[in-house]
Amino acid sequence: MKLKMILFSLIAAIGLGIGCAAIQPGNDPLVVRTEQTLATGKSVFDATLGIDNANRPFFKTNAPAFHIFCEWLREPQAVPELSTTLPRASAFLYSLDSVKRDYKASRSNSNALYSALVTFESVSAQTAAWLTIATNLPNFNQQ
Amino acid sequence: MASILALLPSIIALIPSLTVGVEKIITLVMSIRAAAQQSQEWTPALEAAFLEALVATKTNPAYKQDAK
Repeated sequence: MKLKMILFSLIAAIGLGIGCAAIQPGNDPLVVRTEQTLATGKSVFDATLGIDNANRPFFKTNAPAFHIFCEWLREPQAVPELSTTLPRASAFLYSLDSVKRDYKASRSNSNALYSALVTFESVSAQTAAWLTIATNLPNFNQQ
Repeated sequence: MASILALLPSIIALIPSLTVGVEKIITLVMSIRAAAQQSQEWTPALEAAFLEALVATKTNPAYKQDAK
């Protein structure tokens, strides 16, 4: 447990020991922040689904709610623009990215992008919360 | 101080072998760090790469539902 705490403190210190970069002149801050959210969101989904996928039977038994949430993120959703389906996690990201592209092309206003951003952030935050719960299960390291 | 910094890559390389899932957490933290460093809008190439990565999740085993 002590090792785990030291390890995570070390990772946090290395990874987060820097501030956000200043946005360069001529770039729309809303677009840059949306892209940062998209990149972070993709990584959160990759980490969460990757950890669940590493041992699905373990999580099915020891954290069924977490596994059900992961399955919900995996459920295929139609993406008409691509004429195909994507896992829900990717469809969320695609949807936010498409609102951002519309905003950049002046086909939608900043309110639409801001609303999409806030909606996505709630899903991303929920996923991150599940990630914290799953990686703190008592038997997580023995799986 | 400089010698500690020089050792950091080796320490980081060892961490994933210590506990299950840590590798994914490190990747996550590093990508959050990279996102925090973004200071300008994505280039068309980066945008295309991101969309390609989203489409690629369709065949990613981690994104596949349980077999029914």
